[in-house]
Amino acid sequence: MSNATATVATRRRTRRAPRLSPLGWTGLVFVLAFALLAVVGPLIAVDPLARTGGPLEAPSGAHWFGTDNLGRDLFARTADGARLSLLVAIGSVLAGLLVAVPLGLLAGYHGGRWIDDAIMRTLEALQALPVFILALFILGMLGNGESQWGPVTVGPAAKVVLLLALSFLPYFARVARAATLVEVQEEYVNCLRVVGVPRWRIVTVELLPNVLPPVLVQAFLWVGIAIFSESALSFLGLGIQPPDPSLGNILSGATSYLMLGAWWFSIIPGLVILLVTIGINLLGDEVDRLLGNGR
Amino acid sequence: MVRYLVRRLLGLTGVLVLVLTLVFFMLHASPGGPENAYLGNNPTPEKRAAVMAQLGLDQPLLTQYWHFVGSMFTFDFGNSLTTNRPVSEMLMQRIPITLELGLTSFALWTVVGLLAGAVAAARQGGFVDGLVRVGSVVALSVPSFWLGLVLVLTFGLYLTGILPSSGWVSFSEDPLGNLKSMVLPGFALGLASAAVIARTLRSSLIGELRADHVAFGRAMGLPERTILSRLALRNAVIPTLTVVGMTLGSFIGGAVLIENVFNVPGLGQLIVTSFMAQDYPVAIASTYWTAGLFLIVTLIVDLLYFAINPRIRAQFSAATGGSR
Repeated sequence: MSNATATVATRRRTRRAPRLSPLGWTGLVFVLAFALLAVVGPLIAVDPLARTGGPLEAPSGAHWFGTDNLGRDLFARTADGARLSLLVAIGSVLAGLLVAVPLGLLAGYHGGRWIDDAIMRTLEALQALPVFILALFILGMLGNGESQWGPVTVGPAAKVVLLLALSFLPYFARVARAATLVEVQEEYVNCLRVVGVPRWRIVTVELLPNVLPPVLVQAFLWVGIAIFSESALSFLGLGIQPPDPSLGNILSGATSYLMLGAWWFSIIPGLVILLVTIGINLLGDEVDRLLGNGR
Repeated sequence: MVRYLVRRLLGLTGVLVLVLTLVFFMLHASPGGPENAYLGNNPTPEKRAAVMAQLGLDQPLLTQYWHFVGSMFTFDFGNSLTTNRPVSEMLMQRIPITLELGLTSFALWTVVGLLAGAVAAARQGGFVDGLVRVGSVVALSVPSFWLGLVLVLTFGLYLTGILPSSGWVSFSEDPLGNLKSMVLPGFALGLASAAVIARTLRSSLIGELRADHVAFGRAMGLPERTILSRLALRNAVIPTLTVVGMTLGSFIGGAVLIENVFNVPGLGQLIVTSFMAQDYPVAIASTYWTAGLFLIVTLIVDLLYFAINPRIRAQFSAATGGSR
């Protein structure tokens, strides 16, 4: 009797929380460590803009990650940079989702008709340039300072968010469209139509919750690409502008001091990018594996 | 083939016009006028006048739009604001260097990626396979420009005298020096792409090794090496080639980043120096050409793929040949 209950309980638990492989666990730990650095780091660190030490001090008890050429604490700057990179990455993915999911739903709901064609062909045109090159191209033409778009002043960080979001559109919209196409074929959608449920209600209340899960999985993976793209753009001087720290522009500042032996200046902030990207990639592989096993 | 080429060229032009239109309206939505974005912070009146005249900002919006888009197709980017040389001339010096770095690195890393993928799949579950699986996740996550910094530090400060860690020698001056100066940038540039290629080939080869015709080959007593090279690899290579083609583009974007780490005087270095000097005609033209090179290279890969893979040819003629 008690044995049977135990089996049922185990089964239920395995279904709810799929077992992670060691690599999956590693990924989870890396991602959580990065989140901890980005969220808690800036709270416990000193002011990232203040000169709290001598120039180019090696890591020590006082300065965990050392100091930069101006004597600013690199732990504070790296943590603040991680926070900014994470905000830009999450912001761009959310902004992309906000536009791409409705477009994908619309295209999928009208699958095969002109409206589907118009949306998907336009997005495909955008996709001819990969994320980094499209953002580089547009930022290159718009300049790296503040821009005035109508009444709104757009700072460099907001520009990066918008451009990354724009370049994510085709990828997110395609996933949303594919999920919608499958869902629209389901019996219940036709039933709802017959009963006379308005179209907007079918789309928002019935389709959307079923379309979101695969889209959100993709969105999570794209946070890693967004972090890399932001740091690469900032490294080139087109993204976040100093003195505000971002993981990319700290590295860009470090290039001049490599030959002075200031290894911590470039190694540590780069390791932070490396760890979060490995983490996200490992978790992505894990999701693939779990979905593959589930079917 | 010609019809395919025409269609691809039209698509390519469409992309450029779409992006240029987007940028044009973003620039003109600003109340200060587009010259502000071109001028950067604290422009001198002369600089403003020069840019205004160059951009033709006194003309009607539609004429301006026509000129803006037109200049990107006639390759007339005007003169640099700092050196006063024609921008196109500066580009012609830089582009071959970026191409040389990108293409050499691409060729070498593709071979490495394919070998790693094939060996891992042949020894699936073994030590080498595990090494390739874990190694490729790490390799594909390394930010190339950071790897570059690590290499500069290692070879410039600790292991000095083995390889040049910075700078560039032209091939015509010193062929051996040119190759040497390319080793480290090329290494940093392609590691991630090699990992992607290895992963793709490994997974499609493993799928192929489970196919019926491979089982049949085994039953017939063919040696494992023949099965791998004759039966499995041939089919597995086709999806991998698509990925190889896609990574070629990333070598162009990556080269732009890497040049700044290793002080290679290509397009990427031009982008950064022109932005620092607020030399916007040069900055715009060099980012434009980075995108342009990517599109051209992708187009060439597509054409090669079209020539190699009969399935695409068949698909294309089925899609267009029927109606015409």
